[in-house]
This record gives sequence, C-alpha cells and structure tokens, in this order.
Amino acid sequence: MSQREHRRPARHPWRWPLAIGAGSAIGLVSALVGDGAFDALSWLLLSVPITVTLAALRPRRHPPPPSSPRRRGSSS
Amino acid sequence: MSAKSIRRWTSVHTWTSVVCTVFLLFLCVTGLPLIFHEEIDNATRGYDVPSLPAKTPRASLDRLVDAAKARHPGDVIQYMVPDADNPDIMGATMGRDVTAQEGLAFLVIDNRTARVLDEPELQGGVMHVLLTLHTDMFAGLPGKLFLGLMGLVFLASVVSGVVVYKPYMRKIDFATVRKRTRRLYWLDVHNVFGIVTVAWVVVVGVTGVVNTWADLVVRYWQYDQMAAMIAPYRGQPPLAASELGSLQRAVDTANAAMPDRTLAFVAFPGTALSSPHHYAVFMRGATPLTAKLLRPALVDAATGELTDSRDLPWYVTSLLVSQPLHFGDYGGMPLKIIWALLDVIAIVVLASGVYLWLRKRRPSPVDSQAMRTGDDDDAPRAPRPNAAAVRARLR
Repeated sequence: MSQREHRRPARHPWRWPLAIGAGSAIGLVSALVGDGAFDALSWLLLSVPITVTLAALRPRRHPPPPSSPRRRGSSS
Repeated sequence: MSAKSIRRWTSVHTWTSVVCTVFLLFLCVTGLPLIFHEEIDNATRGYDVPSLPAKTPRASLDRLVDAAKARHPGDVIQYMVPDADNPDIMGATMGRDVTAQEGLAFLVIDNRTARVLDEPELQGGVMHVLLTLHTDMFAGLPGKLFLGLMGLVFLASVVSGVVVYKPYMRKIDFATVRKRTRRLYWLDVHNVFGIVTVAWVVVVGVTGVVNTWADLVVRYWQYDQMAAMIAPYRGQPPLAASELGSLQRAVDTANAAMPDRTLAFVAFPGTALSSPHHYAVFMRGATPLTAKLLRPALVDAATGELTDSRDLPWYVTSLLVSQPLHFGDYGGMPLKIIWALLDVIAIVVLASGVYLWLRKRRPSPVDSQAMRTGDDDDAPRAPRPNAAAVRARLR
C-alpha cells in the first residue's frame, strides 16, 4: 500500500508552531512595554495556544481529504 | 534527519525529562495558586484602609518610621515599600537586626495618619509555605540553585522535544489528536500541547532559572558596583541605628535627583541592597517598562546628602525584567488567567510525558498486540526509509 501519496502529510510541520510561538513571544513582550492596547494584544496572542489545545481535544470526524479517497482503516 | 539522530534526540528527551519532571510538576502545581497571590492576600487581609478626604496629605516618612519603632521597640527596619496598588499604604519589614532573615515582622502603615493598620503573619500562612516550597523547598540557597539546575535540565528536555517533533509530525496534520488507543491519544496530546506552549514554557523556564540566581546577582552587584559607589566610606564603622538621619530627607534627595521617577522601595543601611552607611532609595520609572527598571540613589543616612546614583548593571536589569515574565503579573487579571491556563497545559504535558514513559517501559498486553499488528502506529507496514525511526519515536 502506498498511502503516502494519498495521505496529506503536514508539508510544513513548523508553520503553525512557528506562527504560534512568534505570536506568544510578541504577546509576552507586549504587555511588558505598554498598557491598554498592549495588554489587550498580549491577551489575544497568548490565548491562541490555549484555544488550539481546546480545539484539538474537541471530538471531530476525520473526513478524508478530497485528494485522497482511500484512508487506512482504523480498527482497534 | 537520520534515524540514528532521531533515536539519539529521543533518548535525550526521555532522560532529561526523567530527571526533571517530578520537580517541574511540583513547580507547576505550587506555582498555580501563586499566580493569584496578590488577590488571595488581599482577600484574606485583616484590615481596612480608612477612607479620608482625597486631598489628605501624606505624613512624613519619619513619622512612619517612628510608628514602626513604637510597635517593635527592639527591632530595626530593613525595608520600606509603598503598596503597589494602594498609594495610601506603606509596608515596612522589621527584624532583630538589619540582616536577620528569620522572625521578621511586616507592618502595614497608613501613609496619611502614620498609624499601623495591620501586622500580617509574614512567615506563616499557606501562601508563604507555597512560595517557599516553590522557590527553594525550604532548603535556602542550595534549594534555589538545585531548582535552577532542574530548570536547565527541563530546558534541555524542551529543546530535544522540539527536535523530535518534526519527524513525529511527518504523517499527521498540525493539532491532530488521534483516539485509536489511549497511548496514541496521550502521545498526540503531549505533542500538540507541548508544541503550542513551547514559547511560553521557555520564557517562564528561563526567567525562573534566572530568578534562582537572584541572591548571587545581588551579591555580585554589591561587590561590583556598590563597592565603587561607597569607596569614600571605606574603613568607617557602620552606622548605629541611633545615628540614622531623616528618611524623609533621604527620599526627598532621591526625588530631587530623579524628578521623573517615583519611590519603589527603600533599603535601610546594612541590608543586602544597601551599604552600611546609606539609605538605598530605589526609584521606578513612569512608563510600564521603566516601572520595572529601578534606579537606586545612595543617600548618606546620617546627612541626607546624595552619595551616588547609577543605573543598575545589565545583570540586575535582566533579573528585574525576568520577574514579571515569570510571575505573569504585568498584564492585569486576564493575563493571570492566561498564565494559569498555560500552567495547567504544562501540567498536562508533564503528566502525559510520565504516562508515556511508564507505558513504554511496561507496555500493556493490548499495546503490544497493537504494535505487532501495526494498528497503534500510523507507519505503513511496508518497509520504507525511516519507518523504523518513526516507530522508535512512537513506541
């Protein structure tokens, strides 16, 4: 079986982690240098990782991506 | 990345984690309530600040000193610290002598009436126990340095964890949590939770490690800069408590030297943050950033004259900046809540790491079966380059 062509592996495994990490870094510094809008920016950016963890735990179906009609069965 | 190097990094991740995880779990758990220590302290405080007309003038700081001395006649004041939230309140730390670390008293004094409002228990109470556990586990400086070392091992564990994240992610999309088996579920949770919080964890980890060096940093500052600033006083006997001049005058001198700054705290002569001859008046800036970056004025405690004032060196500044970044107390209540949630996520990452490690060492029969049949593993059954490495990582 050659699923690799059909599965859509994360082509850029670093894209989201880097974006979230950079956002967190800006958020961490932002509240340090200012109040008001700077604090709000910090709250916004630092809630992203929390939101992602909650979203990841949310029960969800795994629809096969349009390009790959075949998915390996998951029996267990 | 070659299969060999993945294995190597995985084993670095495993063993650094084995060393530090118990302590990190302990730090995350004791740290959680400490995020809200200000609110908890305020809620449990046993006094009310009398409401006086808005324009009531401040009492002279010397009257506050007198009030403190009247309360504890045998003791000396070590530090006086204006309350961060309430400008009408001054805190004063008193001890048997200026260097005492045990049996300290903390007085809450009304700035306007110079009356002692309260004397909260300084070294009792749940919050103090938690704080001491969190900073040194009741083992003093060695305890602090040990926790700092665990923090460094933890950072190595985080770095190696990030390195093995990429090969692990080859077959799944970002933030995927598979539910096929319990082990796979916790593996995915460990990886997703770990990777999205890595920036925060590194910042809190590094600043925590820096905070464990606070005592050493202050000692080095004494040796490096204080010695130069007080060179003219070399050889003079330390001032006796009875020789101390007006505190108000000293603070006025500092205010005149730094008109755009406000009082952060005063270290009395002989304490770790001052010299035997000076009130060290630490002043904070007016902007959110410079409010953390203090600047001391050394004021001759007998005459009230300014001896010297210089900016703190980079290593003390780093320490001062790393404090808010560790405590999360610099962006209001929402930031504290975010801090607490991120801390809970870190606890989940640590606990799931322990679970995965135990599970790997003693796989349950179901797991072994799943592994033999390949059900537990997204790696394809047909041999292909690096499949072994992926398996090694997932197992």
